[in-house]
Amino acid sequence: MEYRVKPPGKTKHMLIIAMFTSMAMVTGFIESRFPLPFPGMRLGIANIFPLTALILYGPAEAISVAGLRLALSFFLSGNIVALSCSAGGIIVSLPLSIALYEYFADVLSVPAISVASAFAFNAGQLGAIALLLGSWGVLAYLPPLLLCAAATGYAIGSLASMLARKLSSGKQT
Amino acid sequence: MTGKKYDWLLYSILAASFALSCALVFATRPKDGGLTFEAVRGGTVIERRRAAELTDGVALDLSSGAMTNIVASDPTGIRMVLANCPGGDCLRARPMKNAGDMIVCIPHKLIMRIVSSSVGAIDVMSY
Amino acid sequence: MKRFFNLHSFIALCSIMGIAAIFIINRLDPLNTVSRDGVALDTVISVTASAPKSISELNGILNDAFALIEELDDRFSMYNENSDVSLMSANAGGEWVPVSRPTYEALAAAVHAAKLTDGAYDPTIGPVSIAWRDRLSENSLPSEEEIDAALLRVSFDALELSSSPPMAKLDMPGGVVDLGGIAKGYVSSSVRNLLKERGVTSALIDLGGNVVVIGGRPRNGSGTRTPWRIGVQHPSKPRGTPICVVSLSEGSVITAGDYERFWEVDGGRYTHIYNPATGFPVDGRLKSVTIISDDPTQGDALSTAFIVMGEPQALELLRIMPEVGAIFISETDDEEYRITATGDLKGAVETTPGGPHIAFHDTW
Repeated sequence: MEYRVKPPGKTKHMLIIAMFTSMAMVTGFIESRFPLPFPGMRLGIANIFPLTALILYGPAEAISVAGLRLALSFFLSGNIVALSCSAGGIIVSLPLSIALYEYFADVLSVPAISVASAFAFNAGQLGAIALLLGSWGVLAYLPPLLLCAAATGYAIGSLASMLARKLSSGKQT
Repeated sequence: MTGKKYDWLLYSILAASFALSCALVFATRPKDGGLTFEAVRGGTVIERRRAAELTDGVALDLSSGAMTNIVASDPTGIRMVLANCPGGDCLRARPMKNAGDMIVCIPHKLIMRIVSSSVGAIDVMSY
Repeated sequence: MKRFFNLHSFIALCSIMGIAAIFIINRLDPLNTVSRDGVALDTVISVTASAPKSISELNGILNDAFALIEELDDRFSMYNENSDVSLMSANAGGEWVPVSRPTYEALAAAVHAAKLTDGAYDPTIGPVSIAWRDRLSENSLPSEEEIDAALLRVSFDALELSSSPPMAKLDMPGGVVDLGGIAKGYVSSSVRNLLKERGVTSALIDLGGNVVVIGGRPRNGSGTRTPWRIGVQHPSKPRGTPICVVSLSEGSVITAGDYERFWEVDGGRYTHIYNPATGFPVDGRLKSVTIISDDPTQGDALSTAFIVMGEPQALELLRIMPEVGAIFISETDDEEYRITATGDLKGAVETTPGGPHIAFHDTW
């Protein structure tokens, strides 16, 4: 929790959440172009923003950024499959990262939490696809996806904590 | 970012779940019905039939000219039972049973393998 | 000032990188695939084409392909009174008729196939098919006299062609030109040429079961080429159920089956394929013949001819045509099916689970 800051006034607070959300949306769009076994799946790089919001401000803000980004991306693209995948992923991974960070931040590093969260995110996405297709056979893709998750999870974890450090030191309360 | 005290615990839990998922996928992979036996000689496919057709005792003659290669199936799998290639490595290879298993006879330019097929995956019908 | 610089420059950097990335990723578009369905030549048509081109370019290519199909259909159709074919029939026994080059080419291929199969395929079978169709549609059968009279007017020798300018003449009064047994083959061949000329790297052309493929299934990055999988229709099971499967990357798979269209009158079953020698519809054990080769036009004619000829005679002819492969599906005594195929197809045809085995005729 070393980088937790107090929200700098209501308007600025909303602005910052909005900026995080929009950056999450852009990142989500970019990563959607990256080919994965199923259309609609994402690598989860956009999760860096809810994660940073979690570190800087707390669970409420993290949920806002994640939820807003889901809704707005869907309104912009109209892609239900992508929505289900991301929603499935977020539903599993967000509570996990919140729980891990709020209770274990002193004994677990952010990259580690992020790897766990990325695992959950990809498992959730695959689960959503299995439900959509009505068959559990797709779970065969779990091992390679988890491998990718480990890599991206670690990367965005380090980035998120670096980001949080920079942004919190740059702010004056 | 510096690692923290119990990172290793989390990582081990994650690694364990990863291993578990691998084991699960491996255990539930599709077996017999959807397997095809394929033989390629010199780049041309010379034989392709459902693996289930090669039941015990049935011998398949893949010979060509002076090159003798005869395959047969027994409870351990499909293997080369007769070949006059120098060295006879193919005769000693482990029998093929699952998708991906392969036996080659290099002097005779023969590659045999089991591939998983799905007749459901048809692109178009000719009628 | 420093903190202002931090947050804003960070956001600016992200945005710029984001926009740049979007542009770069858009340029890296690999293979695109477009698919389109239509109706022509009295049947359903589907063309799927892949190429390293934009979707709009591919759509343009498909537009042209379908326009070509329509144009050729107009020229070849017996049921269009302005078609080249109808004009020839209208002037049968009379003058030379100018025809388009495609019609000339199709007629030339038809005559060649007729000579090759000794008349088992005959593009002048029109009078016989019309006699049967007219009677069957009113639930009766043509009489012996009607059939004999029709047979007299069937003779591919009477078809004369001149190449420049392209003209044709059916020197038989009352004769009728029917390109039905070769039209789909010729059209699919023309479509194939068009697609190839326009840079299509992988395609599947389905003209009512007459299949022509190019390039194998589109690669998706792994670089390996997998052949198209073409099912051969089971003679008695519902449409879409294969009795065996052909794996082919390049070439044509054309099936003539007596199960496709038939009439039932007075308890008898009358197919739509006629024997030019007897004037009767084929009615034997041979239910379907599938020709696999590189020439769809010839393949179409051969498939029809082989059903008329029967398997033993067909095999004789296949002996001297090593570039043509064939699959024969016949009915056995106990209403099961038997599949035989030419030896060159060994690695290309496979059985279906629970389906009949394939007996390959080994090389002669």
